Amino acid sequence: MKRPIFGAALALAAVTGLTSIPAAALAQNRTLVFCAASDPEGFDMARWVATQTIDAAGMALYNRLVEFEAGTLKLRPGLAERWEVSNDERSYTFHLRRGVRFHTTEWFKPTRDFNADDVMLSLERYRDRNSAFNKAYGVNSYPYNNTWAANVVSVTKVDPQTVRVSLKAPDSTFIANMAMVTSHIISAEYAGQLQQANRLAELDTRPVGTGPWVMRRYDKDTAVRYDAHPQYWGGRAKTDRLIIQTVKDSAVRAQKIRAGECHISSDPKPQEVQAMRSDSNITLPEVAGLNIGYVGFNVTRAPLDKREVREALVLATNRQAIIDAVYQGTGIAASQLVPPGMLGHDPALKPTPHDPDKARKLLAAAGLANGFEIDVWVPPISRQYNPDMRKTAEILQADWARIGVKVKIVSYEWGDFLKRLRAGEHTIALIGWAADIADPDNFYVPLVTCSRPTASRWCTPGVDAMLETARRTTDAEQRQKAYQQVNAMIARENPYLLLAHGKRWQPVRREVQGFRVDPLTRTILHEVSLR
Amino acid sequence: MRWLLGRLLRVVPTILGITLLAFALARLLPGDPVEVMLGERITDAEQHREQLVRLGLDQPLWVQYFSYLGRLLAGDLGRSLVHGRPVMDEFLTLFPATLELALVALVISVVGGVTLGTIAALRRGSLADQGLMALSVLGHSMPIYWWGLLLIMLCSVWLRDVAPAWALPVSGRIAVLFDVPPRTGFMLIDSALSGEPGAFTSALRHLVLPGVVLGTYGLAVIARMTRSSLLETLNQDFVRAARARALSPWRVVGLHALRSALIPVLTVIGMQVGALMGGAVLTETIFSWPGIGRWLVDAIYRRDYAVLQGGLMLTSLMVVGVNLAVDLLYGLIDPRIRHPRT
Repeated sequence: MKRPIFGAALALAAVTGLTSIPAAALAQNRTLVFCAASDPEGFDMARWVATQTIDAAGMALYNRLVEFEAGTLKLRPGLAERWEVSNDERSYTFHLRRGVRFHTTEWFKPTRDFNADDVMLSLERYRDRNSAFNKAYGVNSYPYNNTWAANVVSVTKVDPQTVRVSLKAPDSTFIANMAMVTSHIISAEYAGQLQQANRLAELDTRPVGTGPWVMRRYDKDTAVRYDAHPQYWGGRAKTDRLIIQTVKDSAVRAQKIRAGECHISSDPKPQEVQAMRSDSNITLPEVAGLNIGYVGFNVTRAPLDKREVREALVLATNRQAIIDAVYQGTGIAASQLVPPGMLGHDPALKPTPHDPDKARKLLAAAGLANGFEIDVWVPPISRQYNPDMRKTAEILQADWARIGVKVKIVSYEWGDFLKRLRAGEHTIALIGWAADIADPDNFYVPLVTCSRPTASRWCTPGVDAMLETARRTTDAEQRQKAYQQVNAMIARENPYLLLAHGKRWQPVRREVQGFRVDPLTRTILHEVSLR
Repeated sequence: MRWLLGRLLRVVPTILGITLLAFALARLLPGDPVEVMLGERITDAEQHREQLVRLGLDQPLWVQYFSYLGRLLAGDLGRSLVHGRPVMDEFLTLFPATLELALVALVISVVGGVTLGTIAALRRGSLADQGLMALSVLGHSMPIYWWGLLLIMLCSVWLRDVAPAWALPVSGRIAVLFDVPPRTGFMLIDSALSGEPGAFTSALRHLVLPGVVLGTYGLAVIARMTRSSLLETLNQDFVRAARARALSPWRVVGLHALRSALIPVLTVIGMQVGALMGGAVLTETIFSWPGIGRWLVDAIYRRDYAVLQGGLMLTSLMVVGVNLAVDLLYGLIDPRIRHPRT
């Protein structure tokens, strides 16, 4: 009996006795490995919204006419070298970059450089939803595209290197929208070939773009492999290959980066961040995120229909305790919807101070001196805008108990939570928002306009009009004025208890150079090199 | 022949039941795919409705069910509601990974289980017997998730600090640097075919932890079954006769007793297929194993009804198929099953 066991032990020894791939080998191979939290949903950004798709498709494979500079909120020319805006602000003329090459892949060999036809197709497919293209291939999974596309009258080719976009009404967010990850430019030549062969769906599985990486292979639930685009207009990527590996479990991702099996990783949880800080091989660069974590007060339901009650709950909340315990000290206390440094932010507006005495008086004035019982809904998710919803709710429970408000914490499964929230079944719900573009419009419109089923259900027609005014002008001063008025109304009415703007951090191994965490929840990898 | 036909016909209502169950289970999940995909970004009710219409989810449930059934009869499992790829294609891409893992787990269960069970039976009442049986109770009741994480902590994390050369990989099917094109879908075969030095060993090393985790339950069950069956056989006349003929203990046990004792063990092995599929869901999730289990878990999270229905359907069919095969096999081996006394 001894022999087989001995043999098995030897076999196991042979299997286990080989070292794992060390980080040095990865660097030597000039292959950058990024561990992502999930697979991309597909490779045509017109259909998808998830962060992982933005990284694996939007940023790796494509460009836009205008780009947000990596790590900042600054706009810079992308596939358009420059653009002009007409005096009535209804027409944008884009002058396109010359000599931009589309990817050469196993499935497509471009015969020409990027030109106006590509821009026409890429933008028109959002605008004209009855086009033959859209009938054969659905786009517009992402609602925000409709906001700008509905305002476009036409996209015209002036000459092969010039495109003009005409708008129904001026839209100050238009250029930022052109830099949004979903405004990527696809190859009209490739799309034409696919359409002719009745295989348009391949746009989403066998992508062709102008971006820094050329997709080589996608192994479902495993990895996407890329080669550097040799003729990339922005300069060849600093590593030869890129692998975006799917590692869904956040604890496993943390182990993998510690083991040197990935160079950069996505979305660590706060508790893992603490452990990583003690690892000398890992750095944790961070950036202020474009987001806001908040508690929505449903103003259509008693007793939150009373302004005094909402204000009392805001005053009773020890925001700093939440920032310390939930955001592990990295959140920025929020006084308004948009974070500091962004158009619309009013530096004079400070977060409401913690004042339980005043809160008690306000409750008494509202006829609720003995307090009341209320449900607080907590979604089962963790986000940068709020890394631990449950803990937040527990702190609120303790804070509000001091003014006589008894909180019952209610949790629903995520899909159920969203459904009920949209139906307005909640009285108080924890949730938040992460912006897709660096424009205040992307904060205000989804969170305080009457037409949207927001977590507060707060509807003040004057606010809608002010936001409309701000959108219709490119005059930054005028916009700022309108946003400040809205800020003041929100501060007075308290439809939300604004908690904090969460910071974005990403674990990066020491051998990685040139990586910048991006405030727009994107991971940009072609500027990264390995020591 | 009539018996065979009857057995096959009984599969039909089972399959119909599976389609209904898979459909109902998918729809019973709260929320819908559009809501889950867009999350807090759903701010426009009209958009939400439009997307539901696009996916055909605005239709009454019975219409959805019968159109699903109609497509199924035509051999079409539909397309993923999330990424639009055919469900069958996804299944065929991912299934080899699950099969490979399940086969390794099965080998571990059978070899380990039979060996330990035999040792326990031969040393009945000894400390080794008691120890092994206590371990088998532990293995039988060990929650897979906990066991998987424990092994990762031990064999990947702790060992990496203590003896890095012996540490096992945390997750995946092969070190990501090996660029092995999928030919058969079985990583052991593909890595061997790729000719890349070290690729095969890497694939083998990646199989150790998930294989052990998935195989533990079966190993425990088979060990107990082998022990009790062997003990029963050892007391039978033909074994006594073999001993009386002064055959060596090895021949008595190996050639006579074990062969007979393994017949009921085979039943247990057949039943393990269902348990392996269930266990694969958790094992694949822990070890980032790109197989059917994790695919189904994702489908649940994303409310991808088409994948959920198709995946449940195909995996259930497999279990039904294996059970049917086992039944038929018994019928062939044991005529009493084919011709039951009335």
